[in-house]
Amino acid sequence: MRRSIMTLLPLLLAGATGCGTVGAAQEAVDPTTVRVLVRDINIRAAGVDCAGTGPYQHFHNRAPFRVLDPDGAALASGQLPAGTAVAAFAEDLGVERLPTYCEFAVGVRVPQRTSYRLEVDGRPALDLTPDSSEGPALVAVVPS
Amino acid sequence: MLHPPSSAAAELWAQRPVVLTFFSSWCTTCASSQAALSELARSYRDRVVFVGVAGADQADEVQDYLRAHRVEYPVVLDDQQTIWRSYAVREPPAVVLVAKGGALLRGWPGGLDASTLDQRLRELVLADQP
Repeated sequence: MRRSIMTLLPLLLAGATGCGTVGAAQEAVDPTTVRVLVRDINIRAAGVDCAGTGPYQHFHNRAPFRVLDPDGAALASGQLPAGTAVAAFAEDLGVERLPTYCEFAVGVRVPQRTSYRLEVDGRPALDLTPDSSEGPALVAVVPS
Repeated sequence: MLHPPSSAAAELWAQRPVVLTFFSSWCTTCASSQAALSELARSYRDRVVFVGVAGADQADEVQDYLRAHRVEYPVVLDDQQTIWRSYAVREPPAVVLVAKGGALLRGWPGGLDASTLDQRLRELVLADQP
């Protein structure tokens, strides 16, 4: 019984983050955060929920995503949450609505690999770059 | 300013002002303000036409959204986002107010809450009505 629970634990933890770990049940997985900064420079109030605009419209709440290994195998999958609007420029423009980017952050659990890529809604995958400045994260910036 | 209206749209605003609400079923901001907007539309039923314009979306998910938020006004599924582009909508939510006769009065990218829209409707389209 204890063994069954231990086998299920990674799956339960993955479920708690809203994401699934794909095809990596026998490997150790580490929690990390996938962050995507969509630099669409759309006019919004900073801090509001957002989605990508223009050519980045497929970045939005509930959009399906997969984290891929260098061979294209899926390591984790899930749905993006809503993005958060962040000011594109440091200057105080003195207005409520200002040029912003849309930033997404979603927790995943993935096994160790030399590199990772992110596929959103079946579109061409983006390179993810490790970044530990705010905790373990894999980061993509579009356009790069 | 007058739009190049389609015949259906022209019929809509021939008799009454029109509020276009641009939304997507996955839009969290749209969902959080939709109940009040639906109620406002019911309260203006005979005086202002509300029309929803869903874009970047799937028909079944839009249906689920409409049921969940008790949206009773007509909704267009803007598959190709033609209407969105016509009104320069880049992201939901957005609200556009069209006067009786077709003059574009005001647009709110990012949307606005129902009480503010109510106030704007009173100021912009109902103040000079008997």
